[in-house]
Amino acid sequence: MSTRRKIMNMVKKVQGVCNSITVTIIIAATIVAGLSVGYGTIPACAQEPVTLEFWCDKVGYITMYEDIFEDFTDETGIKIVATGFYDIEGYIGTIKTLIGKPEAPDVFTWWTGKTMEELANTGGLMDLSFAFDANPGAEAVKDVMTVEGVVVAVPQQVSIWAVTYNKSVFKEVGIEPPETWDEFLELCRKIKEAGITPFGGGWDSWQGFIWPGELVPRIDPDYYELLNAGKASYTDPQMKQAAQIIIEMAENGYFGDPNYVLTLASPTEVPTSIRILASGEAAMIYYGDWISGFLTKEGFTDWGMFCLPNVNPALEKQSVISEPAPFLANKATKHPEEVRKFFEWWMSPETIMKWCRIMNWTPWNVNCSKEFLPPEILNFHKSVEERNPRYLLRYWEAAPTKEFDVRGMLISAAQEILVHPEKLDTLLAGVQESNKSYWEKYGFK
Amino acid sequence: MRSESKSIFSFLFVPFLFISIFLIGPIFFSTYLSFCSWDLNGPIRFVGIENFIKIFTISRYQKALLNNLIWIAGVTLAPMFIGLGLAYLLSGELKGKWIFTGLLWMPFAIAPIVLGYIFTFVFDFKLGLLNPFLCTIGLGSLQKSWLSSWPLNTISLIIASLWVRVPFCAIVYLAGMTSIPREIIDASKVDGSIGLHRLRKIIFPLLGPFTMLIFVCNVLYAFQDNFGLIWVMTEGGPYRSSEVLNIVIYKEAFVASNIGGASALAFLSMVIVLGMAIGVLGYSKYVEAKG
Repeated sequence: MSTRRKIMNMVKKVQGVCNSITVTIIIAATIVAGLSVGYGTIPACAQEPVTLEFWCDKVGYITMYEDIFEDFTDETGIKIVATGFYDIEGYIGTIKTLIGKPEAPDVFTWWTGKTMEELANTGGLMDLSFAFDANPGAEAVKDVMTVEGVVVAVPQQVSIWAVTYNKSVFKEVGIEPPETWDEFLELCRKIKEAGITPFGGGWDSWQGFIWPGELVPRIDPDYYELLNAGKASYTDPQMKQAAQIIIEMAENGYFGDPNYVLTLASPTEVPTSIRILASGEAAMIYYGDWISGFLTKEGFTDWGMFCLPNVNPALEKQSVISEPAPFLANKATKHPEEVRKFFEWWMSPETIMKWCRIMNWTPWNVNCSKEFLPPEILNFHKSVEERNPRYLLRYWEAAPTKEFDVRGMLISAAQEILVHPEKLDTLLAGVQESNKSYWEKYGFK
Repeated sequence: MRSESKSIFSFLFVPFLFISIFLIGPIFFSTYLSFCSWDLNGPIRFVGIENFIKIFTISRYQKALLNNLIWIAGVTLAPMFIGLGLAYLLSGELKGKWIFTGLLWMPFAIAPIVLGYIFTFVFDFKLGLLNPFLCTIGLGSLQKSWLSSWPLNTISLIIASLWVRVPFCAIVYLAGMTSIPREIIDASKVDGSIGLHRLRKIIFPLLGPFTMLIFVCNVLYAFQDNFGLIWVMTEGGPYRSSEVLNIVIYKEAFVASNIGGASALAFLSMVIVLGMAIGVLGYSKYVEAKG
């Protein structure tokens, strides 16, 4: 081979190797740069002031959160960016995947009960007892925010569930809020006869649990508590009775057309239900008394609230469903001091008062006045207290979840019996099978 | 040559490393997890074939599998034949066919989620366009609750997906038809073969490889790419009636934290799709060898 050719071959070999090395370096540099930006190793001079990430599943509250968080920013200089998730299952999945990692939000909304226990057991939640210690007066709600002795949450709302009704519709039909179950059924019948749907609100997505979760405690509250402790069965007569009531109410048209209420286009969000109530298309909707904030926002003022009477008249106490909704904090937050400041500020009586004024909610600190609440809410709470209430945790929080998803199965069963009532026994047996598996694996408490 | 091989190897090494780390590795890990019980936080516990037994005993999973089979039937046959017809029309002499060809690409510009929202407002019982339209043309008796009961909700979802599947099939077939040698078409004309006869006897058999490609892509769509559409239109509901395997996998993994169960379902999904793809490939080779 000539010298020239030898040299050309050597150059080609080196070129080939050089090309490979160059490409490898470019790709590696791209990966490193991307990871650096992603994990926040940008130079300090390019970093912005501390911003806390706040996520919530309550899209309708975002503007209210942003309003109140502005006060925190004004006081401390710490910004909070609020992000709302429209899709509850997507929200649950995202939080469960990220919790305990820096990518999880610093502060987020969640639910108490077993749903909170599941998250607490990951070890990814911050201990928030300091927030209660710094602001005495909220001890009554501390227990429900505690998992295995650790305070992992603070309230953002403490509410009870109520039937919200359109006063003009009631006046037009000539009815008053009921005191007994029979009066309630009679009221529904009269409303239906007047050509108005008794209950607005959808049944799709998460809402399927509402009626079973309200009826069972009003049939037998002891059974309800045993059920959620794994000591009763979904095939017991009490659950069947609740399901039969739902079937009868559905057949009488009290929930509206199942072809509509079982689709995502029906009200799966509260503001839509309120518009249906405000227009007089429906006479009542069933949510927590936190709905007063939405009612104000929608500009609807002609409403009242009453407590759904017990189905079983022999019960000594009026069963009332409570929903304490919490804020939680990510233990792996990049800004623990700022998160601490946030919670101390949030639990102060001044902030609670301001927040509850914005939302028309009942403050959970005894040092806060309730005088600002609308008369409808004050009257409703007064009527509940007069009925010797027994407070029970809402089914959404109390029911078993994890991989057996008992709660999801009951929601699905409650939806299906609206259109396939003949499948009731099979559906309840299916829910019980999952329930049994859950308690066999995770034990009884 | 040796230096060329080395060069090729060094160029391929990095992409191969990528594929190994980000594709093959997770497949093996997921397969391992399908034999385990894990909730993302606790220890990974080996449980053998327990997850696979549950697939064949839990009615929810069976329902999802049944829905997938309905999806396969819906998104393979109809789009294929409609797409073939459209492609045949567009392959001929047609004034302004560039406009129609361009319109075929429009559905791909729409994200599946947006498509889902659009079709929700077509099929909705109260606010949708379809029921009033049926009334207007004198077919009011055909009004239905398209999304609130099974199997109508699954069929409605499939119809919504045809918006994208039909153009896809048409574009692939159009590409196939342009690759058919002109002499064959001219010879068929001379022999008196026209219209539907030419399409059935001459063109369609020559489009065999494209048909196989469309079939495999549509099966993949039925198992993977319909997630956004279904999630937005029904979330797999009501009462889980319109769930398919990918929806169940998502809910099991990220809502119920049942990673083992989700991995088992994903494994099953992969086996079905691979099986169908290999079967189609094998059949195509058999037909080729025979021909």
